[in-house]
Amino acid sequence: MQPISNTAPVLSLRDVTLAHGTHVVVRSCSCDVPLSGMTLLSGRNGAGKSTFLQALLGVVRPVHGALLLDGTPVEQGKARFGYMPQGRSEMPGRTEGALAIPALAHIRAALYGQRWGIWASSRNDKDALEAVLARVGIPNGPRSYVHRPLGQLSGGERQRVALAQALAPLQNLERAIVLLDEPLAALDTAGRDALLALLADLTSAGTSVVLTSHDMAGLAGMMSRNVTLMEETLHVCV
Amino acid sequence: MFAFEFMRHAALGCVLVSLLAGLVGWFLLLRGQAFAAHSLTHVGFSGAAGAVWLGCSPLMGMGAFSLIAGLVLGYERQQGRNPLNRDGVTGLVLSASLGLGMLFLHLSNGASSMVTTLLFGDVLGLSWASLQVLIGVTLLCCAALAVFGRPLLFASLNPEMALARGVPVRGLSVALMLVSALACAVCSEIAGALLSFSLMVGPAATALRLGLSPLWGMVSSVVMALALSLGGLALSWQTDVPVPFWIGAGALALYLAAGGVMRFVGLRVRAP
Repeated sequence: MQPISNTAPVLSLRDVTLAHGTHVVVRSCSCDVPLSGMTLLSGRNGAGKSTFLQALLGVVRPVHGALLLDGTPVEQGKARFGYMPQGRSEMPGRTEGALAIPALAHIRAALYGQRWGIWASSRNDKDALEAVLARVGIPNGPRSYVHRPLGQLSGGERQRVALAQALAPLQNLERAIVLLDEPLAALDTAGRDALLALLADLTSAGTSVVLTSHDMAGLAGMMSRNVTLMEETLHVCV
Repeated sequence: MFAFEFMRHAALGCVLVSLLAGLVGWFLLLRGQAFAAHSLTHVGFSGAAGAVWLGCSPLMGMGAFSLIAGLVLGYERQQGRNPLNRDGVTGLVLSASLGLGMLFLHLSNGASSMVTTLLFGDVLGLSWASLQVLIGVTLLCCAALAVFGRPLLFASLNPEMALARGVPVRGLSVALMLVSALACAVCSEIAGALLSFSLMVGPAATALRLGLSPLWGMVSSVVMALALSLGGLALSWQTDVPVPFWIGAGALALYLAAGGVMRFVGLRVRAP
């Protein structure tokens, strides 16, 4: 367990009712959840873990109530969030064409994708790209797997690329909160251990990590806290 | 062959359309929207038939119908998460517009020569007025892609992440379909409603199969589209076989050759 510092980000739910279609994820829930270190968001399949993460990102809005990050609405803190969605191939836009594009282009797209118009990469852009590759342990040489199409990478390599995408737009890793949706789902034991070590390294740099999993076994001991979505409420266990 | 004015017009038309088809086609293929591109060209045919019935310019009718269909497809693409629904909507728009096209042709008493022109294109009959429209549309579409190309690439590669970062994913989808609608309308002028699809899809599919980065993918897609259209024009001049045949056959040949190249490269990488 990691101690919660005074500057640790705190997520506050104020009488929140959140739904995905007709399925209620949480109903009239009020609580404070510190997010320092690593937080496991667990719950059975279909409990609404992904919907909850999307609510933190401001993509899904609560039916009622307010979600606050350090006392302000989560939408205002959008720049602090990094996000790694589930690697489901049936999502709109996640096409065969996208899998044919080199992994480096996926990371670049996450890094520069919010800029409009024509412009050339600056020295700072190149430095930022190299920094994010180094942060997640992706080699940047000419023979690196990052130059291969995303569809040709192993599960572990893909997850590193996805993590690099999540971190790429973040300005300040110390204040950042990285949301990972089922990051361990498609990994073998070695891949899972490597990714967890990478996440532990991130938290030691001050980044808060929230990850979802329906499989709590083996993870609970590594987490700063466990938050469970169950029976339309959020159970926080520190 | 460039001693004749109609051939100079045809060559310039091919260059403009190749630029447009190569760029727009690459984004459409990247996003898995080849069927939408195919449908837009056919919808354009119905619009052109309607324009013939009303006595207007076919290109204007083609553009108007394609734009409306592009708006519907771009919006519907973001509804729900089942890809089958998107294709279903595209199919419905296509069948409804083709039915409307048949009605327009019936009302305009057949006009069979016009139908043939709309379906198969008439690159050798490009007037200077049509070329001016082509130049305007090409510049407009290229400028639009230059403005929203990067956010569109992000939204195409990872829509969930882009949405989370505040990128207007739905707006970009609609914008791309509107640009595609215009591109399809002008491509149909060159290769016809039936085969303009091959100029958009063939080079882009080949570029994606080669596993190139976005920049090189778009550049190679444009270069291949140029080779297909100008090569088709030259071969048509030599053999008297219609241009669309050479474009369609060439697109397939390029795609198969890219598969061979990738297999060869794969073998070399695996070899000790």
